[in-house]
Amino acid sequence: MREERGFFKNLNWITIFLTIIISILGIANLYSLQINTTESVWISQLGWFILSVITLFLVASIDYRIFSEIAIPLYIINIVLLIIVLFFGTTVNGSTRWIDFGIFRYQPSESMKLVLALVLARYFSIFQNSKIGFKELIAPFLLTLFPAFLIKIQPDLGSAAILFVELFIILFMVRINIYVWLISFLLFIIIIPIMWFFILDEYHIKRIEAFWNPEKYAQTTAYQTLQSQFAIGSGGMSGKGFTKGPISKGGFVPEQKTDFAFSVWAEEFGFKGSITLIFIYFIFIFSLIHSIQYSTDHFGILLSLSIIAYIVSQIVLNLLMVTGLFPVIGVPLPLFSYGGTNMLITMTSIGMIMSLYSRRFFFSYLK
Amino acid sequence: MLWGEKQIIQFYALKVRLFLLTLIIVFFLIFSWLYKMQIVEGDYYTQRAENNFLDIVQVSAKRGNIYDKNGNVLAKNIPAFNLYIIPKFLDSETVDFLKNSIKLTDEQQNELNSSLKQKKKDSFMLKEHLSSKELALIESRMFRLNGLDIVTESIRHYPNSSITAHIVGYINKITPKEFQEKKDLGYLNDDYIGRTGAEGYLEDYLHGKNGKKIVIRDQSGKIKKDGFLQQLIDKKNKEFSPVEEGNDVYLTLDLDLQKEIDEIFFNVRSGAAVVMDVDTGDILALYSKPTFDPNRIILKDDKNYLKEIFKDELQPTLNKAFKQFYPGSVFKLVTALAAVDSGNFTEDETVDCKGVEEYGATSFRCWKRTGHGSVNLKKAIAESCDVYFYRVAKKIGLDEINKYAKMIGIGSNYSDFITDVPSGFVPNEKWYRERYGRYQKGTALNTSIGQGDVYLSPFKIAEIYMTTANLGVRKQINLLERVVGFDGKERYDRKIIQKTTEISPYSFQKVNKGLYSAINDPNGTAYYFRLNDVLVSGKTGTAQVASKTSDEYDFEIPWNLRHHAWFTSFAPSYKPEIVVTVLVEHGGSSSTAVPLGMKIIKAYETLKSKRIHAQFIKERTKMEAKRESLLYGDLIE
Repeated sequence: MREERGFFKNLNWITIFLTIIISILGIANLYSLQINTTESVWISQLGWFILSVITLFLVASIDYRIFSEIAIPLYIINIVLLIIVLFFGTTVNGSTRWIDFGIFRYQPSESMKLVLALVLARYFSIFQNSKIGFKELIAPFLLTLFPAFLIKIQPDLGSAAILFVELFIILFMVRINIYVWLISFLLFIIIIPIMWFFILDEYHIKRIEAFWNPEKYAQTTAYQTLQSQFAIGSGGMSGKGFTKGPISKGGFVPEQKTDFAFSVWAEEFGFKGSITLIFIYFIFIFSLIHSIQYSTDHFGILLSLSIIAYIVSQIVLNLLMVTGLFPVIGVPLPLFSYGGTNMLITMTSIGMIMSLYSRRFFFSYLK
Repeated sequence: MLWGEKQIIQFYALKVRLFLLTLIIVFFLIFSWLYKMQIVEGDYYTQRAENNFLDIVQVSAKRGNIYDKNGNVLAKNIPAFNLYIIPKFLDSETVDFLKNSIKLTDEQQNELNSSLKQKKKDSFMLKEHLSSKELALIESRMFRLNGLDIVTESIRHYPNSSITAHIVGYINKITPKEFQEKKDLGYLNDDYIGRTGAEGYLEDYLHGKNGKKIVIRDQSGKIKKDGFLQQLIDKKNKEFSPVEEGNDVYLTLDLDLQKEIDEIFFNVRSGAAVVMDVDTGDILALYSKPTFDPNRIILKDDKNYLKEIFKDELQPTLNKAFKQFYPGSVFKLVTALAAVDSGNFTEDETVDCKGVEEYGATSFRCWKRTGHGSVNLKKAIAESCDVYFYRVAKKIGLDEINKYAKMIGIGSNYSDFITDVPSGFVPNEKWYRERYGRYQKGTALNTSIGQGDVYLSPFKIAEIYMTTANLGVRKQINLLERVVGFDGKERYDRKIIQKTTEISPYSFQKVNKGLYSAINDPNGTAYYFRLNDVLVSGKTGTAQVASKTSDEYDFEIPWNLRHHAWFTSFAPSYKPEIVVTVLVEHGGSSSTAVPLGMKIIKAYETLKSKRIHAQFIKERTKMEAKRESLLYGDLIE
């Protein structure tokens, strides 16, 4: 009972529509921030947006099972790129994250999030009929640890953390023995102090201290998160109006183009605007998850799950961070924050889910 | 059990639902947190946000400039860089840097340390007038320093420094007590206030009203200039009373004349000169020596200098023109007026001077031991015969002299703004009785020649002689000519105010003959120093400080025991324009003062003719240009 429909008719248009809406809101947000200034990154973001949408449709038209084949080569290429970044990367604000290609800069740590999702999906799709024990967990752990380490020393703790969150969510999803869970939990508790001393730098610890006691570090470490909270809070019910937020326009929130873009939005559109944006995100996430049930094979399920895992974890961590509910780690708000690579990779990921969704009628086990 | 696709989907469906549930909880948490931040505590965050980047700073009003009557600058403001500390943003790194690189007093260091601890303190000025080296050091490191602000304010500068030091005066820091009194008038706690001279008299005109304004500070406490936010705070700034700049004042002084006097006084150790306009009562020049540099008092860069000038026995900061001395023979004018005006002496009545006058057991000597012979009023003044005035005093008594002294203006001030000048003192019988219990008639004789207990300042003597030159019309003495507001509007209506003394003008005429002879009669005391081209009337004076034998020469006795040398005059004699009073403290005899006075008159005349000439050239050029345009205008077009 094949139901052949046109390619465009098979796409999940709600997801695509929401993707475009969020991106356009993000560009408008950048425009509002930089009106009457010499900077105009919103134009370059617009360029990335057009490129990303094209990529989305291109990827959606490809059979997703190919990604299973090319997962490992992509992983290797990405690791190489990460190593290149360490030696030849462009440094901004003390972090070496970009490879400069002249007209644009590429951030391999962003694509690593997607490539890891591919690799993990491919790996776990093997275990269709058996439960996973400790031995089987060593490989995915190392596969995550190595790029996370490379990203951590850029330094970019946020992206490194996202990789682990991705792994964690996938592990939560797959069939793992309950004792493995218990022991992992114990290990995790043991690891925390080790993390404290070895993984976290001094400024990360300071940030965590500042998170618990922001007033004490009001002018130093907690400045960013406090200013962000001031901006969001002062938005009130309806906000200061488009292009009229004093705190944002004054440039008081550091990184307000990228990680803290939400604070600009919340100041200018108030509670109504921020709730609307969050609601759009929620529907967007829901529509992504909704696509999973049309997955037709194990790899497809795992791929969409891990993609959703890293997109959702970025959204949630960013919102928590911006509103002061979580210590500051550099995580962008997908599609909304300024950042070309992030937008391209996010849309590529959505394109993969669309590819999966549009082929739901080819292999229907369920219906 | 082997799982088919169906089981897998079911298995994942459960997990996905759990995931979705977690997500809903997290989103609800974010939702309620946003509700709390934006709706419940929105105002609080707005307030916090504004407190965080808005700061109220004080704006000091520009002090008005001081000019002379011709528009030459006497006092102005030049930019200075002051270092302010904003404790809220201060960190220990910045404090260490400041301590190492900038000269700070112990007090300033303590202030710095305490502001590091008390973050809530208001911003304050740490150091005034940074040197260019310090400024460069701070600016080069500014991007790493927090809680600092370099504000461009102004510092008072006196281009003519010591030449006009006494009459222009200087400004100084306001004391806490004064600040409490003047807080409502727009003064700041670290403000400057005019202390002496014109700066002090005209303080109300010169000092503007300070204001406040809101500024935007960035993370490190530096003032941020942002177009968008500026509009926002401009609205708020309207709530503050605006800054009112100080007014510019034009004094009646003639800087060129003052400069000439400074040169004329080149050899004088200590003394004063006053020049006034007889017609208007304007002070044209007021000079005191030794003098000081007011710029160095304000800069405070050299503490030794301050110590030096305040410890100097010659008192450089004291205005000698306002200090009271024994007037000596220049006071004889008052006695002479009393003699003729009261009708006790006629103009031609003669007195025989034998060089000494006996009174009771005491003998009063004339300065000329051999005596003047037969002396009438004119000759008495011209040759300054003491015996004549002893006779007058004998006949009319002390109270009559005191009465005439009061009539001519001693004991009362008559001036627009000058308030701190002593008004002069001439005793009467009652004063002696109260002070010493009894009155000896002999003191009247001493008083008649300006000794005993008569005290007059050069300024007062100039005033008396100005009234004499005006034949009894007493003019109000003016220092202020114009006040021009910061908006260009005139703020002061200058008037020539005068009143007539009760002494008859005829008496003044009679006395003036004597003053004329003193310089133009071959026997006159100042005949030797007369000028060729200007007729001058005047009176010399040699006031005893300590009694000395006439045989001693000046260089044989200590400087501070020598006589004061006086010369006061008005010129030209028949239509007086200026009155010039010169005092040389411990000058020995009047012959040290007279040439100075004559040079001042000459300098005045030269300046006058130069200005007339310049005016003439200007007018002629204008006329020629007009004539040319009339003749050839059509051709040029």
